[in-house]
Amino acid sequence: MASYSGIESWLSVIAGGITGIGLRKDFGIRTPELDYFIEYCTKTPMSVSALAPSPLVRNYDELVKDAYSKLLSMLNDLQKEKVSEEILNEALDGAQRLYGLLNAVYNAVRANVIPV
Amino acid sequence: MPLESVIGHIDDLVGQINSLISNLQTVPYPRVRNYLGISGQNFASGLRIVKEMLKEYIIKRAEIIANLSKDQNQTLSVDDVIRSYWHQQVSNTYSIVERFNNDTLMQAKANIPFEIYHWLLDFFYNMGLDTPVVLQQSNQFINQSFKRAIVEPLEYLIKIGEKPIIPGSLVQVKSPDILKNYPLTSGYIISYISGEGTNPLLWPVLVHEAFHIMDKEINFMSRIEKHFTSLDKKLPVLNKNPEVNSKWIEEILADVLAIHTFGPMYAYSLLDYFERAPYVQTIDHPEMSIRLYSVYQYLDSTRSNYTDILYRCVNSCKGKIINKIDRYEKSGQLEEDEKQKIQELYKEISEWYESLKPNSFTQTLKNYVLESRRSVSEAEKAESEKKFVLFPNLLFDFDEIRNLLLEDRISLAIDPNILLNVVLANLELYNRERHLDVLVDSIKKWKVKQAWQLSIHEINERL
Repeated sequence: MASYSGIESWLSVIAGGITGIGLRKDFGIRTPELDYFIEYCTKTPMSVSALAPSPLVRNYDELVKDAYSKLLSMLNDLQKEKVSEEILNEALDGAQRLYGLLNAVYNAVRANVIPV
Repeated sequence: MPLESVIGHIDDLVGQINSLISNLQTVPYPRVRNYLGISGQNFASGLRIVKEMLKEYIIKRAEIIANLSKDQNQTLSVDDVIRSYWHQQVSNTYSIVERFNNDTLMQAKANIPFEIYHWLLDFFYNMGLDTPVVLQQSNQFINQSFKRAIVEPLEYLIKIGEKPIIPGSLVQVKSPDILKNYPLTSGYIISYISGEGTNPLLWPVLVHEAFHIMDKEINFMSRIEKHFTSLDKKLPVLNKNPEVNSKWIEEILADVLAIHTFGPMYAYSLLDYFERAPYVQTIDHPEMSIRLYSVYQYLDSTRSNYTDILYRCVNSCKGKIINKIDRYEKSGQLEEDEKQKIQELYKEISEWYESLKPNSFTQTLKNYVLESRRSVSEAEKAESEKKFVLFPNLLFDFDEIRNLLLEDRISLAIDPNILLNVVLANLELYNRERHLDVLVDSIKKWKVKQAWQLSIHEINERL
């Protein structure tokens, strides 16, 4: 079911991921923000069709899936003892891109009608 | 103090919600007033949870990082840390609190008549449910629990706040048991499209949402599955993915229960909404063709000998839907095997529903006819015995209800489901400026009549 709260929840998780990756990059610490972000993303499939109505699915599903799968492919590296700055920068960019896309879906859901 | 402006804003929003709650005295129905108050308190609790999280989690965690930065000769202030690492979280939190405030406002400032609100709550009451349900102006028809609307977006922050920011370190933020400090009363929100608040054609869509909520409370889906199992059958497969199939059947179930309870014109309401907001299937919703064909089964199979109301409404609705079903069939959007599966599903849901002895539309019609006949014969008897003559409940047929309500503009104390079906079957005569008040007054009269009858019953019981 399309819902604001479902998207808000994802936005919160990804924002936490951005915090976690940033702190890892600048301070070298692995915080619960990062751990929970990795745990949540690994366990939870993301699909725009579960969050938004069909016109938005057509517009955003591929973009979101693509951004999400790129981010998922980096999660293993983020869990390692040593992570290169390049990987951290890429992960940060990826998380920020996904956050931006979901934020656009959120704004669109708030402005569109959906199936009953 | 860091985040002072957001925290101050949240305090202000809590104050606004409290003042909204104290202004609910103007709401005429105590049940509606009570539920709106409960919802307002829940959203105020949501705001307090956000405030605690900003203070207890984000600021304190940022303080730890600011101290760490000194050790690394960077000297970041707490504000710098928040701006660099938590700005998306703060911004997301700000969106959430604004949404909480907007939700509360859109509930308190209903543009749907309170009589319709009350009419909808009666569907729950008739199913033995007194869980709080509030209506909310929105841009969509959806239902959700208070927990989903308020707690779900905050779960991540609550969860990470329970752990120290530096694993293994003693430097950690003590986690208050935030959900226990600010408990929520359970209940639900049904959102409706703002511009449709006074459109009777879309009020039946609210009944569909109501049945989704009842499903969450009473678990219709598992009962239907058990019903199929008891017949050595399995639920039809409309989608190969079991999870999606289950969601699709839930949608059809809500449609079928809505049409059985509200009456035949629910199908017209659904058709109209599909024309306004067409969609292609999603993981939650089967194709529109499948849902319309499901409710069409009711039009094709339901009979009543008591009055012409059902027959006339069914015919009016069939005329509107049959062309659409034809087009679905011709364009291949409705395959023969799908039709058979839907027919079977409809048949089993209907049989199971009948076994519950519910307040179905056919039962409502039967009660209307029998009570009218009884009250007329009681009045005649009283008159012949020269006793006090009771005012009888006259029995009106389809044309009489239409003429009295839509031509003579006379409010009728008849069950709202009967009235609404007749109005929707004659929608070309309905004009909001001329008839909305008459329709709403009719529902008010019906509620007064019900209360009157209940008190007579109680007096008789005592005597």
